[in-house]
Amino acid sequence: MGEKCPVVVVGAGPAGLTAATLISQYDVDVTLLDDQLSPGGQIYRQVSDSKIANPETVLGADYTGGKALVDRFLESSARYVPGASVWGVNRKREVSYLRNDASFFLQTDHLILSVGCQERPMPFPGWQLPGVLTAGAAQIMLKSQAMAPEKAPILVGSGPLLLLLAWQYLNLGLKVKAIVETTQTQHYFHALKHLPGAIVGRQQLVKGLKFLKDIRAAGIAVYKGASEIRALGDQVLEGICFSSRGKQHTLNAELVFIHQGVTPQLQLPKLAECELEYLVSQKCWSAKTDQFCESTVEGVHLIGDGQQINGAEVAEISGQICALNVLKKLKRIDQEDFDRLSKPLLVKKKRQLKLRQFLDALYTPSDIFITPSDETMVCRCEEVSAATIREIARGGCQGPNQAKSFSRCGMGHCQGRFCEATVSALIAKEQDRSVADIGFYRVRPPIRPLTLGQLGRGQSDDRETN
Amino acid sequence: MSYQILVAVDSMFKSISECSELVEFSLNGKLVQVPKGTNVAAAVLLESAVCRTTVVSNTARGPFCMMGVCFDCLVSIDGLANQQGCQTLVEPGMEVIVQRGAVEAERVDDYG
Ligand SMILES: Cc1cc2nc3c(=O)[nH]c(=O)nc-3n(C[C@H](O)[C@H](O)[C@H](O)COP(=O)(O)OP(=O)(O)OC[C@H]3O[C@@H](n4cnc5c(N)ncnc54)[C@H](O)[C@@H]3O)c2cc1C
Ligand code: FES
Repeated sequence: MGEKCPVVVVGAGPAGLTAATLISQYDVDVTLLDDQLSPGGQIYRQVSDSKIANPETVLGADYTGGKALVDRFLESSARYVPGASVWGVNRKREVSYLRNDASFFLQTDHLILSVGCQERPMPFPGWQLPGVLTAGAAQIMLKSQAMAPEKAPILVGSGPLLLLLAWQYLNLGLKVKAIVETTQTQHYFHALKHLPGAIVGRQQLVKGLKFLKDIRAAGIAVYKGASEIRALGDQVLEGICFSSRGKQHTLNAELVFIHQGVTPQLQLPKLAECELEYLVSQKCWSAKTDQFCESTVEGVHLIGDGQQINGAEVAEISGQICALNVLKKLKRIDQEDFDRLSKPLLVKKKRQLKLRQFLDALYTPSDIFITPSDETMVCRCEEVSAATIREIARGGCQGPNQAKSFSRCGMGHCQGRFCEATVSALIAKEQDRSVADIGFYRVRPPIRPLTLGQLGRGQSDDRETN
Repeated sequence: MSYQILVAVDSMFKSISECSELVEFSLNGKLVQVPKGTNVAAAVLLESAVCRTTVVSNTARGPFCMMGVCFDCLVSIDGLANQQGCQTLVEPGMEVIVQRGAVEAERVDDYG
């Protein structure tokens, strides 16, 4: 099925760009598919043609710094296919994607999946109201749409992305009404024991502290240790209430941005039948790989936040390691070169992972969002409540796949992307089992919207060099 | 199909774009201009917070993730229902209509 390509990469974030650029330097034909219209992934979204004035001052030097990576890729011989939405892969490394209203098919010996992460679901009563968006959505609005909130938003949750967003709004001279932090006091203590290891990432820690300092200086109200969060409003968001340090608060709001960390997008590794493993430290599933980023399926390589959440720097390092591994298999470098080149990268990655342990401990999602209250809508598509999931769990439902037939939970358009974690955690808690034991949703193609017409207009190849 | 905005709310976002080139399209029958390169969900957020009502309870819903994951931004574009607004660029003359409740299956995965 489809034209044969030596190497196919899916995803133009730091992981995929790094891997594709390096492999192409050894005269290998690399094809990179990405659904966005310009390279950069989530962190460097639209970095080469930002529509914002002074992007470096507003969005930060970390963002504009990504342009070098993007330029190196665009100057390389790798074939770049933007606007390509991959809707299917399998263990034979056959890839199906939609582009310009038609489907295309490729087959490869080396499939590198670097599709990144999604926001972790953060369910609480009212989170489905229009006006509640993820912090990631707010950031995408800023980076790729050059759009900012009309009225002062409230930021709710925890994690570096939330602070970064507040800081970027301040740089634009915009008001943030309040930051409602859900990090619990015990998380700070747990994180402290990882602090010595995290010292390698001190630059990042210092940046985080700078954000905090600027936010304090701007006089934004910060509510700590918040819980019992509830979005208020009849048809659209009107406000939120929560308790913080023993006090109840109610704030009016038309826009609330929520964040509780990110989790890997695992639909494609699942379709390719790669083995997954549950990470207790991150409270989410990740995909298993060996140290050179190869999955349990031969020729399927997984790198970046789409394999396991380790951040942009590790995504780049893994991209390099994976590229060297592919080059060795393609006999472009020998074992000796491979060992020499990969060793320092493995050491560097190991050091970076120490910082991740600190961040994981500090920003571990609060239990109130892992197993939300009964009235909370768990499945946004089919509008299934936590109470219903608890009820079917008590009735003996074995896992998320069975929950679908009991409740339609996970059967809507998002195919379970925003309820899987919650459904599994609720069943696990109710039955006193581990999430690892409960399992995850099976998925089937297409994982992206596809009409019969688009499927019918299939072709074997439309790659072009951009 | 009604051509009115579902719930009258103020715009949620404003454009700070340096791009002066505008694209005109129709949102629920109303002609709207947005900067070139704007996607449909973002265009909705310049006008309102709501892009459809839900399949089960017919209540208002708006864009949520802006990255193609949540499917809350489904709209009808040029007559084809259940399109992800956040993944579709506004084109000149495009007709975007908010969806009410369940709409007929038109996609392969609608039959799931
Ligand atoms: C909304 C959002 C904003 C973020 N902002 C920041 C930030 O400012 N700073 C920071 O340090 N970290 C940020 N992160 C975390 C960040 O994602 C990672 O640190 C980094 O971008 C990971 O790089 P990656 O290469 O693994 O994946 P990504 O950068 O996510 O790149 C993956 C690419 O694959 C594409 N893709 C996904 N699925 C498909 C498919 N089926 N078909 C085709 N293409 C596909 C995506 O559109 C994307 O371009 C953000 C995360 C999210 C979700
Ligand atoms: S807003 Fe989530 S898919 Fe479009």
